[in-house]
Amino acid sequence: MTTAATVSEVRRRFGRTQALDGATFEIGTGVTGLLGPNGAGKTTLLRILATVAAPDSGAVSVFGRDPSVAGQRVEIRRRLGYLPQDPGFQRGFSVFEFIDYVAILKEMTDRHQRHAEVRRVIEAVDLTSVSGKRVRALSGGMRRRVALAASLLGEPQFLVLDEPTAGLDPEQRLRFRELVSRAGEGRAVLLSTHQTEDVAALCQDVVVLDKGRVLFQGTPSDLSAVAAGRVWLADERVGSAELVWRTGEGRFRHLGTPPNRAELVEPTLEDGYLLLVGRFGEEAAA
Amino acid sequence: MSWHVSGQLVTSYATGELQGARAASVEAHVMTCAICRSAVNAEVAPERMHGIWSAVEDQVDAPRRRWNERVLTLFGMSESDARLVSVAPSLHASWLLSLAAVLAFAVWASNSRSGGTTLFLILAPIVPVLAVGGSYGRWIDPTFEVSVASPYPTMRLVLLRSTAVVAASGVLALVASLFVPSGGDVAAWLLPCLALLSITLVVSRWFTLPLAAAGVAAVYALPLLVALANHRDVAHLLLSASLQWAALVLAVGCIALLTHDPMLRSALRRNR
Amino acid sequence: MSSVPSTEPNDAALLRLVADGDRRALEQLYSRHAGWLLIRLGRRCADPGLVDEVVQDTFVAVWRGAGKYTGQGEVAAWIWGIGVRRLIDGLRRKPHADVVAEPPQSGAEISAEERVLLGVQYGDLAGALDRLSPELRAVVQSTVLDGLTTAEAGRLLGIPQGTVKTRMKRAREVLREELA
Repeated sequence: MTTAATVSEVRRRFGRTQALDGATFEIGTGVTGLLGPNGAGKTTLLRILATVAAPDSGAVSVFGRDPSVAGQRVEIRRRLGYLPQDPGFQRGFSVFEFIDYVAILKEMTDRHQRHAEVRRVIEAVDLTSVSGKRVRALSGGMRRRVALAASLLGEPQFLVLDEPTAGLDPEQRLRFRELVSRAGEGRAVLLSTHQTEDVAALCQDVVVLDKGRVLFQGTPSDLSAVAAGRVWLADERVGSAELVWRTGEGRFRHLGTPPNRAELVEPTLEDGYLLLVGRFGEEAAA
Repeated sequence: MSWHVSGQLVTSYATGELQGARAASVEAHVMTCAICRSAVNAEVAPERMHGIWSAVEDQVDAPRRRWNERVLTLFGMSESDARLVSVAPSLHASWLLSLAAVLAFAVWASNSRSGGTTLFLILAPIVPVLAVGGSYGRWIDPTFEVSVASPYPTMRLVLLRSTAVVAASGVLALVASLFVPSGGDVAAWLLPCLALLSITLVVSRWFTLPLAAAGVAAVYALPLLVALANHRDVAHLLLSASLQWAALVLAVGCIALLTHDPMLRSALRRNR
Repeated sequence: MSSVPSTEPNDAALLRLVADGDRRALEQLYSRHAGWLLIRLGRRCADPGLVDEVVQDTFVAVWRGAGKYTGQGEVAAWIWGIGVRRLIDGLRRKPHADVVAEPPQSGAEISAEERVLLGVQYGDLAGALDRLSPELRAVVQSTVLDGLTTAEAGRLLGIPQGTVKTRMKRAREVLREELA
């Protein structure tokens, strides 16, 4: 695995909140999922990696370059694609015009080549049928796709996607996952999410972040294994568990130290995640 | 339709061999029959079809050029730079009209009451500052984050946009000043304006541009307006030589600070 | 004729999509109509470069003006209307691009198929049309078939509007005599 980016003991504070508190991990080719509850520091971390924000302390390296050095920062930006959490669009711009605008920001000055590239990314996210429509007239899911298309301009080697599936309905989310997994072939993709299904479906590598610290880095199956032997089902709530919730079948799933003769079950990725994070956070289990 | 044109007929029509009423019949038929249309279509060389479609695509996709873009290219800006600059909200008709309204109010005030010129001298310098605040930054430009993450030099974008909006709003203010009835004294707003603009750009290193501009404008205008409301002799202050000198010194100092920024050199280098 | 209903949208539906900014729909309309338009215009103008330009402009106009299609008549006819008028404008700017002169009628045999064709479209009129002199037939074709006004026909054929009117009158007389 070739390393695309490394983060080492990064700290960042906003007022009284310590958003990042010594985060350390590595990103290589393929899709890496950054999993964590709201307020974990995911967006801050992504903004630092996308060279939009700077850390208070710690070292960051993208493609072996240091984003705090101006000349190297531009080199990183030339190979980077960024999808922010709340993508914004100029008023009155059509899909084509917006992506063309971002293409100019990516230094594509030749109009003919630029337009061909814009058409290519629009085709890649399957938006050709609306390329003439105003972006603000489209649904949230489609707008995200427009922003994703813009991030794909120039075939960047490193894609940073901030909660790309948030607010999408299940069908849109499936389509997005397909797009992202295709985009991940041959390049490094870092996406943040609080949906464990996204990670299970997409990622070769997972990083769990909470309260500004990295709690885990490894494969999805390693994350599931964290909960090995610590997940059991019962017909009623058992007090000794750390976390309990009702399943679809009307039984109760428990996480924690199982009592004797408990009905142990295979752990899922979500179980591992919840056990590490120690609480449900904003998103309750299904 | 119970019959369709044969291959033979289609070919002789397409080559121009078929004439007269027979050709007219084929043409009339083709207008109403999709199947025969595709038969005729097949007679055209694919390269010719692709070539024309490619040209159609280019024209159809070419983003519509706005009026302010055209003006910018007239002044020698490259097409792509003009696109990036013309998107600035304060270069749009709505902003410019609002700023013009502020100036118009100041002009009216100066014509309708004695001492009204002071109001103009307070408001005129901050109009270009507000325009700069509306050209780039966190709450002003919806694509702010993506702009920062892009290789295009942010400083160049800020400078190009600021220059354009200062020129546009400056022209408005200059025109307005022609209607203010006190002759040469009216030029007294120019140096303070220059000072405020350069201070804004320096302050924008630490605060986002809209905030910097709003802050600088407020710090300058509010105390003066309050003093004016309390019937203090603000005019004397604004027209005094010492204020003009202070403005000049501040402006020169800030510009010196800005030009020593290494980022500036890369920003001013023309795009490849 | 096949009676399987097409799952493809019809031209009017495609045009509605184009009005809504759907570029793929424009591409589909282009593949359906650009070919015959090129040929039909090419039969009225000897300059293929001009014809290519005109077809290009026509489809750009279709993209920009798709909302103006009222739903009356075939989309093909609407597109033809745009195309032929652009050709007329183009000819005005490049007057040396002559209208295709008709080669003299060969006394060739009419195939059985062509006979059927003529019978379906124009019946007796077809023969009478063929017997008209080329100038008269040209004005009939422009005004009746191509749907141009006498002024536009004049510009297309490179003759004054008055001449168009006179020739139309004469053509009508001849045809009335023939068909009587």
